[in-house]
Amino acid sequence: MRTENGKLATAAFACASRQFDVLISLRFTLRAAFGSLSRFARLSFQFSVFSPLILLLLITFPHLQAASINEANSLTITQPFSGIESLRVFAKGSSQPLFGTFRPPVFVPAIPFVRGQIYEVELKLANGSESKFEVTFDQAAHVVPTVRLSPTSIAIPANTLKLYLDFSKPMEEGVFLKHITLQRQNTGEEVAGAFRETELWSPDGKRLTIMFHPGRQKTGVNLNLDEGPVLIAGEGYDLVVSGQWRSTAGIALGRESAFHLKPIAADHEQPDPARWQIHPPKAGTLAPIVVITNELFDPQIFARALQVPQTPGKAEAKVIDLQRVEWRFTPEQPWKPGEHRITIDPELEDLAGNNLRKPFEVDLTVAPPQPRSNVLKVQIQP
Amino acid sequence: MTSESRLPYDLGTAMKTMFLAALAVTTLAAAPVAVSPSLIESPQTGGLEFKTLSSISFGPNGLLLVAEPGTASVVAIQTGDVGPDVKVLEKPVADIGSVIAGGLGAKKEDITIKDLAANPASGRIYLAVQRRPDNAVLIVTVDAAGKVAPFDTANLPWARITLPGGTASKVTNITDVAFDGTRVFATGTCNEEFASRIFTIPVPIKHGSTANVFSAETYHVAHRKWETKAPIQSFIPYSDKGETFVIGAFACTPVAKFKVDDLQSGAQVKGVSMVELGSGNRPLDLFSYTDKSGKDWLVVHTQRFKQNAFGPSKMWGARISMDYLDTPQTNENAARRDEKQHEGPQGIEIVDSLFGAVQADKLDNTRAIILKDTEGTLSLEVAALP
Repeated sequence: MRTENGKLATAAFACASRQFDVLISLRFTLRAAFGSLSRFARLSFQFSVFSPLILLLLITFPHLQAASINEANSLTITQPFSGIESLRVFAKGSSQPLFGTFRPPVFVPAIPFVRGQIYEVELKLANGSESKFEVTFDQAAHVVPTVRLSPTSIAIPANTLKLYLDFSKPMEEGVFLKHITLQRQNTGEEVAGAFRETELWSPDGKRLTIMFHPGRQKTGVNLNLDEGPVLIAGEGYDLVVSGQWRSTAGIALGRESAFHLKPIAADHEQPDPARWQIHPPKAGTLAPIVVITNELFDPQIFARALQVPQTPGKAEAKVIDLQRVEWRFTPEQPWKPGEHRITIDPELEDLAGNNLRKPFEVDLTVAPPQPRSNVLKVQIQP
Repeated sequence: MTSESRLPYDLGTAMKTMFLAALAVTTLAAAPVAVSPSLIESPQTGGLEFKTLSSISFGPNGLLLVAEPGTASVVAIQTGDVGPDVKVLEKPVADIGSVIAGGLGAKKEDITIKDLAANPASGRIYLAVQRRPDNAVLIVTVDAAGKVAPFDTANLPWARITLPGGTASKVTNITDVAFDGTRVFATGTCNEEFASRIFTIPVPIKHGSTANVFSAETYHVAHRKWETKAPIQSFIPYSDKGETFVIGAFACTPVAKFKVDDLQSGAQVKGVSMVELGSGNRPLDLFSYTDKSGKDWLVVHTQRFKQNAFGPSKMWGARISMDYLDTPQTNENAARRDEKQHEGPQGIEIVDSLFGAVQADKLDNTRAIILKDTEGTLSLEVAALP
């Protein structure tokens, strides 16, 4: 952090310091050269040289490091004011002082100072005088956030429950419904009431779970009957993200993003790993096991949901076309020949909320659904 | 969906337990459990900082429960704010949004009031606030004179309890927290899963412990045919005739109940819809109270997200007779409010004092505390309950 005149003060100090050195050297030279001058002449010369520097320091000194805000979220009064009776700090332009505590010379706000914000400090001194000055907490580096939709496919089931927005930076919360809309592609009309209003962020603040309103997506629920589902198979939609959405550093996305969706038929089936393709590597290699699904999943969730027990390695997943996700597991040690197993989290949900144990909507009038196997066997051969 | 208020507010999680201290006496058929003045075991002191906040609510004796989704935990704080007198807000605090925003060093439009809780032991009001864009959070208090101050936890005993997640996921959202006299309930979700988990925390609340998973899934049934998982939006524990229920608002149906007495840990919980307020409404807060005649009511504070509002604001509330708890007409046959009338069917009525409220909590059996939005300006007020 620095004061408003900090740069100038620093520069002035440096400049003055160099000038002092120069002048001291010059003084000795001149002393030798002008040793014969009268005392009065010598004093006059020195005054005329040094007084501008002294004047510069007197002008800037009151503003030099009067206070500073450090990374530990405290404002310290660094100038030696005598007898501070009280201190108030305001965000510039506000008439309400910050909540916080002042134990001279340190003020700690109730919540952290905001980068880039100018603060006005008011001091009341024991002698009845007041001092006011400004302090700025330096802006962070200007990094523009980006956003993408996951999964990256337009062909989502019409009864999709969840999609995900992945941001490159943590984003401000509490305003997601102001910044996302679902629009019909043919008319541009907004689909009202499309989303569940509960805000669901990942702990790192970079992933937002967007949930289509479940009351509309569920069969037979009153909202579904009164309002209809959010998505109709075969129709085109745009999920629009406004460019005004800011990162936690206060930097906006800058431009609007529109993600096209063209829903396909509703999916009421449990995921079926038996229908997934498995591409085993050769024994003795570090080549990955590859699994390709026959339906869409969110890749981040899918990557975590499949594991190769007791085999250190790295798993990753990506959407490879409109309807398939590819999962790859690369071991840290070469594969041994024989049977290997991939376990699947039975709670893994597809986009419509069906998991391996049962479909999202269970028909109670028919026999209960059978859970799918959550183990894939892989034969690795030389 | 659009918002009428220029001042953003949290729309999803507030639930109040003002009534619960009295309910604790009637909750169980067995002798009521005496609530110790110290409800926290192995309390910590100092060093409490919140990075995230969702719900706040009060238990007895000034016990404040705070849901902290970022750490998947509930924090219990013995506030010591216990009177001896209950001092109610003397007059409305106009434009409280500006006062709070200034105190946090933010613009008014960059503040969200995530939840409101009125301490029945003192009348003091607590607000959970979030600032944008950095998402910093703070709890502030408002006294009877309307003075706003940060909630200082420096010397208060507290305990943190974690909420366990699933096999490959963890709790990332806590939708509600409430005390029923003998235990703390909390509802949470993992982003990867659709249903809510219900957790219980026994009293005394022990720091560092992990909550019990009371139920891993909550369900709703439509037309006796389609059973689906259903996240709980907000809830209150409630006792009636010696039985304990949770009355809740599910994401897809407004007012539902389920019995907790007979449930074992890990069991499925199926919500039964009792009343439909009509499509296009989203419940925000629930609380119960007893009117002067001794009749019990459930108050549902609601937001309407369709255009045809039937009052001066899309933020509104209704009271529902607790007689509906016993109704045989449930789910698709549940009673539907007559949207063209102030009252109807019998036992379902609009509460006029809740129009415009973006947050609400019960203070006592005659009053609620509301945060009212008038064209983007928030005021904190006392609202009369009918």
